[in-house]
Amino acid sequence: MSAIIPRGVIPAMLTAFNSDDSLDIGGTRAFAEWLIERGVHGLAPCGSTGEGAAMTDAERALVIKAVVEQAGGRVPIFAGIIHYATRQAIDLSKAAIDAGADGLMVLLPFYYQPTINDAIDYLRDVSAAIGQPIMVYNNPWFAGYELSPAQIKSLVEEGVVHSVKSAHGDPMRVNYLKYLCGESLSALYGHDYAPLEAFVAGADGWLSGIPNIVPELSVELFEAVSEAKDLRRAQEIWRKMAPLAYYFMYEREGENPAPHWLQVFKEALRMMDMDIGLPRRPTYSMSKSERAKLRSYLMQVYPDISAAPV
Amino acid sequence: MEMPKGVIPATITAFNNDGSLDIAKTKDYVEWLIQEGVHGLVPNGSTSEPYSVTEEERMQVIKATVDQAAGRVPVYAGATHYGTQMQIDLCKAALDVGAAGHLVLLPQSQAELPISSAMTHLRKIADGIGQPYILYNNPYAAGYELTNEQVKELVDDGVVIGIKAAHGDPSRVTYLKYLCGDRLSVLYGHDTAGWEALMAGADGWLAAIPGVIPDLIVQLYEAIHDNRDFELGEQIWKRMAPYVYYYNFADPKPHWVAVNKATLRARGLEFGDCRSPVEPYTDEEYDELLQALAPVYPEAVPA
Repeated sequence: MSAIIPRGVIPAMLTAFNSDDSLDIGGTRAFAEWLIERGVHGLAPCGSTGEGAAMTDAERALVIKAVVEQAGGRVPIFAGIIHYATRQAIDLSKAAIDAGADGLMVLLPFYYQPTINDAIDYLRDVSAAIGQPIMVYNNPWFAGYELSPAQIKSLVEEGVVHSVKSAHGDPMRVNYLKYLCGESLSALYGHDYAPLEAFVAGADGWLSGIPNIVPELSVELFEAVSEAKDLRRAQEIWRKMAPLAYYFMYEREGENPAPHWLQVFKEALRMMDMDIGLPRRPTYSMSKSERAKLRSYLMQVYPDISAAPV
Repeated sequence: MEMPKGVIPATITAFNNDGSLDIAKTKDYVEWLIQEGVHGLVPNGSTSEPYSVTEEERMQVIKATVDQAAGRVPVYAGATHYGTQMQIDLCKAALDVGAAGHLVLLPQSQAELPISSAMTHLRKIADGIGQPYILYNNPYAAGYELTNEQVKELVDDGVVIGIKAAHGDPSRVTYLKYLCGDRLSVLYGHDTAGWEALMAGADGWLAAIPGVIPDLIVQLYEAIHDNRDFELGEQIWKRMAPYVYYYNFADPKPHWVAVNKATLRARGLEFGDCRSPVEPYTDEEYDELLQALAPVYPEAVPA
């Protein structure tokens, strides 16, 4: 079967939980609808932002199925696969495809930092198990290492990989991946701080967390660059989003920056009247002063949100 | 000192075959850069092999550059020292020979210098020379870098007027402009992603690669910075990409000061070798360079 190539703004979609930490499938579906209404080009549930690592495989399959059903073919669904063992990754991958996912976003096997050759075999095995190429989720922060552009190129040539979530953050990764692979690879910018730079350097899209809270601006930014080729307009749109990205990157404090980014996304959505609950524990809700700071930045992007505390 | 802007190569110093300074060739090279349209010059930066020359030789290079430029473009003298007083003395001597300003590297953190001491050092230099300067924020050379907020503090205090953002990630440019706006001239300061940085609003590009393919970098700057012509910028970038990829990711990678001199040789500017310990290119390395350069300059470089 021919795979759907990811392109455009694809939020690493958040998962809704109830206050007792149980899965909120209704809330997850409502959130998928909210994103689709705002023009996103695809959805990637059960990735890092989707708290894939905080759910059982059965729960992940439920989430993927719910998102597939809600999308109803309007946008493609790329299911996040976060595992270490090849066999578990294959089981979840098959379940995701059975649930109707159009493709997979496969994190490099994490935690034990396997050798590069073993990591590459892991990707080959997952791709072979589902009979189609995959998106490699190249995230040095969560996997502990990353593949080089040249290593990705050879996986593209083998037919194992058709796209990459380039999560390091430095947009030049996208630039050189496109230089090496051209149209044979869809290179998606995969961090939150430099989408403009990545788009202008030829990124085929943006798959990350921030598009969950600024979906329509993310779509406008992508279209200004990739369709209109209008740099001036793109810079204007970026300036609108910049306070939030600045807050996200530089205003959270400490060795493990607080508040946690999962909290930030979910609290921001509550402030925007799109309540999908809070992250699963161990992550708790933000303090009052943390919320006030987030609100002050969010209001720079969306002046109309209520200034009153939630 | 005026705000620096545009394409500002970190210039290369010429040596004779016996290792002595070749001032005449260094001046010819400066003239070539000016003819190619660069907007400023930084002699005695990291690219000029400053750690392989004496203090007197550094001043000779700065003076030769100023003399050759003759006011056509501003010259910002590179100033790399650990000791505060040595740094101030070097900066003053550079002003005496006619430099317009300075590119001041962070004091290298040989002994895990606390950031507060580095900040004091940087303030003392502005006091000592009586004018603000371009801060060279290079984590690879210094062992650490200032945060965007720390840079802003120095801008607010009139210490810093420009920055060479040498980390390489062009988002440094984006967020420095977000914080400091027009009060800080943000120059992209690495060789990997100048294209992205210019599109993100960089005021210029101060690094090594503008010193070897100045014509294309000037065209890129004008297309993006002056004309916001995204498609033309893309065309120019795509033309230079094979060489830029080689420059940053050749494997194994020769030392970058050797890459620069070999590139100038391939472009017809015979230059002599680098000072030891940097070794000259092997024939094999030179062939690989020619392969990367040929698609960029098909007329000038035999494939």
